[in-house]
Amino acid sequence: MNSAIQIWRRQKLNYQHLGRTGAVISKTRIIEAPLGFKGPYWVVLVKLDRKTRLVGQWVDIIEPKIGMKVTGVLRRSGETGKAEAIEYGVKWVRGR
Amino acid sequence: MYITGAYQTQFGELWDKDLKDLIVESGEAAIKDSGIKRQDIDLVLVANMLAGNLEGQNHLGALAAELLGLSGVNAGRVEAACASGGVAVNQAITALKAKTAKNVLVIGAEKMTDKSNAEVSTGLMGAASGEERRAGLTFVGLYGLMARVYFDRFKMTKNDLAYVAVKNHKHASLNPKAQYPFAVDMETVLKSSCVASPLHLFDCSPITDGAAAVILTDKARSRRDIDIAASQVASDSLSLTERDSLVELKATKLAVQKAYREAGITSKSIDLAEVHDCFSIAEIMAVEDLGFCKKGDGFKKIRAGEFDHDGRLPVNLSGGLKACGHPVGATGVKQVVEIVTQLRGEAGKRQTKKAKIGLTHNVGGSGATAAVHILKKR
Repeated sequence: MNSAIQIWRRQKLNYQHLGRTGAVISKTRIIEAPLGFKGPYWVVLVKLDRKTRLVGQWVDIIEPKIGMKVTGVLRRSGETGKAEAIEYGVKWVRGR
Repeated sequence: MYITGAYQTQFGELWDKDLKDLIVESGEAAIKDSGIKRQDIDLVLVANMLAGNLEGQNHLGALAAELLGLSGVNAGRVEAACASGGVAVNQAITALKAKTAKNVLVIGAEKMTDKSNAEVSTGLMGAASGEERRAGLTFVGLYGLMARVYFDRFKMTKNDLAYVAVKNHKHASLNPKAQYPFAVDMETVLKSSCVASPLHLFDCSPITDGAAAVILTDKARSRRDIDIAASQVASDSLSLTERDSLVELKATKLAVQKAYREAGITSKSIDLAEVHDCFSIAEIMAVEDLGFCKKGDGFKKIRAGEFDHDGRLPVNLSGGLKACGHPVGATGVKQVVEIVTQLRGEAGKRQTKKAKIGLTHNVGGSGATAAVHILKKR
């Protein structure tokens, strides 16, 4: 769980991939989730370009597939902690 | 440089023991095994990852020194995630080489089972990147991402993967100190519940309490002392997203290449190995990255029995992390203890006949740190 100041400091990083497109190069369905998350959910490894790869949660209604084109969308991240600050970040859906 | 004392506690869910009990049992037994005088120890290193997180207890070097009647000695803690043990042994050897110490006690200890799986899982993710944590990944998930790529690239099946757990449980059935000293069949592994796809419960090492300790020295005292032929550590990015490849660990390859060079040998000289099988896919990548077989052949060789107790190169005779257990900070030290025990010919029912040169391979995080040691019978 993060404090409001930690979340504020991360804003630029959190939104840098919003609206970008890429392709799924790996995926895993998390059943046993860590604190602050409720499983099950998919996490995808996305290749944006030759140099940039990233990991993020999958929030589409269909299952992700390797090679699938994807787009970054804005979604709430994890659960709020004691500070009750809500963090937003980029998650991934089928490309549009 | 030599290892003159070695000891491993029982691994498992040890309800009646806390971290201090584990430190004392392993430290006292290693000192006794070495035969050296307590006052001759001039450095104490404690390898641990999670005590600050799970128990609120830091400052483990001084704590261990106090508990073992060594107050006043140079003492500290070494942390490199699950490679803490291997890195601590490497640090001890560095001190011996630099002649800043003559006799070093290294203790790896971890108490994990007092907390919930979610708390431990969150603590372990301290070894990953912030991006990976914020994506809700766990270590099973990180290795699941690597396994998915490996499955597709080398046409490996879940049956192939399951052989790793079957082999390591078979080995653990001969090790009375293992957390799970029993064999399992393919069906048990394949039918176990999914933790993070494609990895199932029996593809994962457990949450474990335990400790191991070694005494390292600059002069050999007896025939039981084991020669340290090489000790190397290498690093890579914390995050999987920055890696050159998702089907190998560059840190392992760098560390082992340096280690073979230091020892003046090749992978063909290795008689047995303890490798970091935190997940089944990790052992498959390890046997390839360590040069025991070609990339993409690891699962075929494991399935063919080449790394079995009676195989060409026995791997994880202790039962590995999977079946002997994985008290994270202790694992790298326990691997050294197991190889020392085998090279001394004191491994009982799991003793391998051809034990002259052994290798240990300890990984931190999803491959950000790798420590490799090569040990030789004198």
